[in-house]
Amino acid sequence: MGNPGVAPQQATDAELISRWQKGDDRAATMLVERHSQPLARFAASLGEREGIEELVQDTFVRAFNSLDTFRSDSSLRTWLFTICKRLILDRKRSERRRRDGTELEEGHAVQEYGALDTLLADETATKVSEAVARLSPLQREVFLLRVADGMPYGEIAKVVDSTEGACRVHYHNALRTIKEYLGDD
Amino acid sequence: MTDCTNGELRDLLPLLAHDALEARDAARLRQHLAACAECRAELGLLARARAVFDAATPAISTAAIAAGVQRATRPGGVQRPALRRAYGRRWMPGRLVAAAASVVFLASISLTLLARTFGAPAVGGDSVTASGARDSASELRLFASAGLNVTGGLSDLSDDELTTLLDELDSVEATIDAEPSTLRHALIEDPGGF
Repeated sequence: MGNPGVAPQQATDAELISRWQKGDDRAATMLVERHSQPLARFAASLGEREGIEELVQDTFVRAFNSLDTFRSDSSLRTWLFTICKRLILDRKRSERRRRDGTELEEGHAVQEYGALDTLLADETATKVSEAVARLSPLQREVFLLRVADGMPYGEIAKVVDSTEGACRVHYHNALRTIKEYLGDD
Repeated sequence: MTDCTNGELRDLLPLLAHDALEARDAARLRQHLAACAECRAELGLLARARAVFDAATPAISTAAIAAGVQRATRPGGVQRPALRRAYGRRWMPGRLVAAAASVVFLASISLTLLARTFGAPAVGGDSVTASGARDSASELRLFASAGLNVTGGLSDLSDDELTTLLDELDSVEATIDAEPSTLRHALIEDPGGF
């Protein structure tokens, strides 16, 4: 239950959800402000380039319309990530169908991510970007959730539909790949 | 870049920047960092990786997203994408009602005329005349357009004239502009009147 005495900025996700369900629109705005950027970053890491704002909005709409299915054994952000990922997969399937059944291969996402190098002025950051682009999609996803969002392995496992141990391995393999790429230069 | 041998603490490095560690673990890690160059280097690498991910994220407007979410999730709100769904809500019922009304209108007249043509009594058994159709202006226009004199009543029409009228009915546009209120009232008030 929400605590009316707590300022929205300090309220937990569960409290904000409760407030929103009671009609407090500011609570929904707070949730959107809190989680939009991580969702956009997550979508970008999965190769999405266009329509990210719409994707994030659709993620929230779908989440808010099915809050009764939200299980509090995971965090709201983890749940949002899983919804966002499903929407992205739906998009990719639609795009694939439009492209006369051409299979979307792993390399596509890597190439799209690597194309962002030009956005980075720092040479070291450019090298890191190139290294990240060399990761497999799953490694990059796990690495992003761990590094950019600070998620525990247990939560990451829910997003990528894997196990905690496997996610730990993916993270360290990703880190080793990046280090090796930087060390080879 | 070499790796620190303290795997447990090294594994916690990504969480330090997010305040996602227990206070005790955070204190242990900071103490370790002060003495471990490998972990400091790795922490720097993770910070650069975070910057890369941020730089790769297109700019978004959280205000616009919040407004869209509010519209789509509150009662009376319009789901995004608004065009397709709103189109479905606003357009379909009106067209369907008009089409259904047209079908009912034409089917009623056709069935009645067929019954009369082949001698079967209409429901209710009453004789049918143009005036019996409650002076329906639309009917009169229809009969006139078929070149028929209907001042006496449908029962006075010959088989050829009825055939001409049926042909005229077949050529009538299936979709009508407005609900045929006068005919509807006639049907409701006196369903056997035809």
